[in-house]
Amino acid sequence: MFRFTQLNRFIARPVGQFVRMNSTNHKINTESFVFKYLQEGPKAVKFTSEHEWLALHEDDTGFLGITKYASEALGDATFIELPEVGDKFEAGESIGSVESVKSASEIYLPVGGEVVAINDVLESNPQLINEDPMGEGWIIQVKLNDPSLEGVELLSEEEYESSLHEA
Amino acid sequence: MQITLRMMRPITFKWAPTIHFRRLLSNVNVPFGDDLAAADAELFGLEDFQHYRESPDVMDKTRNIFSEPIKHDTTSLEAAATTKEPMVFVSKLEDPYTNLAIEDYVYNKMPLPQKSDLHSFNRLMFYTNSPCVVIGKNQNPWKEVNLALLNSLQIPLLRRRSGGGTVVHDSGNVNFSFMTTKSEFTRFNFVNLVCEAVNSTRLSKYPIEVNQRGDITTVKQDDNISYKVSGSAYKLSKGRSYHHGTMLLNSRLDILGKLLSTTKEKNGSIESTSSVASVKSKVTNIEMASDDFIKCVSDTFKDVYGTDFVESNSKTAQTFVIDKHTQLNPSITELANELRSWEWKFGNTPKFTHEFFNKKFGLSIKFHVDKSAIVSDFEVHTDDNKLTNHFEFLRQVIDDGQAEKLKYRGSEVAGLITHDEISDWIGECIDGSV
Repeated sequence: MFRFTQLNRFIARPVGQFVRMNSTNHKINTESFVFKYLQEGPKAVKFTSEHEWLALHEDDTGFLGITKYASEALGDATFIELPEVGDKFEAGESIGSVESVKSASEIYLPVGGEVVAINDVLESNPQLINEDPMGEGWIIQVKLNDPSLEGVELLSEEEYESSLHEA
Repeated sequence: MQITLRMMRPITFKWAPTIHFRRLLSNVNVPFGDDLAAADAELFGLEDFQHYRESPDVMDKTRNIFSEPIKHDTTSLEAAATTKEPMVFVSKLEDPYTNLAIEDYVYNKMPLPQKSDLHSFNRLMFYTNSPCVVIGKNQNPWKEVNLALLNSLQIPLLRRRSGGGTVVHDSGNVNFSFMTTKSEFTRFNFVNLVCEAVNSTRLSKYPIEVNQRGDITTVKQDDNISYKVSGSAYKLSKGRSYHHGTMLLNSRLDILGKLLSTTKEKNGSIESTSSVASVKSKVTNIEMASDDFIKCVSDTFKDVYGTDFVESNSKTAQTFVIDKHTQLNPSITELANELRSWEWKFGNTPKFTHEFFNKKFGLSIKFHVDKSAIVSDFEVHTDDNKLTNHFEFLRQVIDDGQAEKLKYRGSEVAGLITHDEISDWIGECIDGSV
């Protein structure tokens, strides 16, 4: 039983930038390194509720980045905090962050693994994350601890997109 | 018979007083207003009461009883921080490390709403720090701050966990922090609320508004300038987000400016491919009392985000006051110690070079500083070849620095230079620690 007062305009829907979306296409850029890394392309692309994508390859590595939706919601990136090659992370740990328009947003790795590559172009060109979030704007490549992905909660493209419409 | 039945109709309340601090008010419930059926009016002549509303005075009073600050001797900070109700926290502590640590703690403890919950359990926190300089998460303190001056005045430097630029805090500045879910994150809603709240009191020297960057400024003054009175920064992490900001009420703006002003001659020049630079703005105070500011913003927060308080047809939220008697649990102390560490403050600077020039010796030196603020290299340029000998030891330490990496601190670097005057000068240029 809510009694809406005039002040409710402050929480009027849609609640700011994080809900609005212009795009429903969350496909990996087929021209990017993420896609071309192995000849056959990634074997699967998965999503998280925290707006990351994970492109899995046959060699049990995966590329991690933020979704197009997240990059649009965050606005112009000014700095990307990256881990170092060799760093090991447990599933669900923060591997770095994206700073954009005065906000620091943590990036999480949904699976356990070791960083085998970082996209250091982002150090001098953080805006790549806005220009091509699901391609050349990849953040890290990890070697998965458990390639079977057992017990890991990941979303398919359809599930991720429908979760955006629910919000 | 019909009449008897009606008389026995139990009085039903539209909400269940399940939360502990509501229980105390359950006895002030009266079967007025919405609980009356048409039959009650008809039979008992109660129709006037159907439109009963308390006078504003009574409403205020009941609300104040309800939202009286929780005493720390009855509820712990942990219990308040995990309450599944919107909450206001007011810290009376002045230590900036402790306040930032408490803010972090309250943020991370905030329960996230489940599908069955009607609303999120938003938090609003206020704190005022003793004088200090606070840089953004990804900034370079050597570039943003006059470290030598800070050092000589013994003013602490802090790195916060949110993005954005450098600000100075003192007792004339109140910080607010609005915490909510990630999906409800916006950059503008809360500053709009602050403006509305402040303007409605008419206690501010100037009417205030929000600019395109999401900062609060005065309305345009006679000199055609909208002076900045508040700076915002944001943090997003798993399922949650906060928007915090400063509010210049009665700050010592003259001192504030000096702490952030650096010159190429004294502080050298910094180059970096990344890191976040501050945007300089003209600032002013709104000259409002701190208590008035806290009251009007928290009242508006309660009106918008509070839980329904049916008795006075309004919304409200509890306030938890943190003072020197509040038990701070070990995780807060740990967070504060992390904020105090050189590794967090300076070590988190994105890699950069720092170059300065000494006229007297005709010598320029450029340090290459890598991740974790470790000196990876340096270049000396001078016409006087004898002077370069004094840097041999520094070169040796950097080159075989596998075991112990050289931190970019004035005292550590200067200690490796074997010419006293140049050594002092370099220590002074780096951060004023010799």
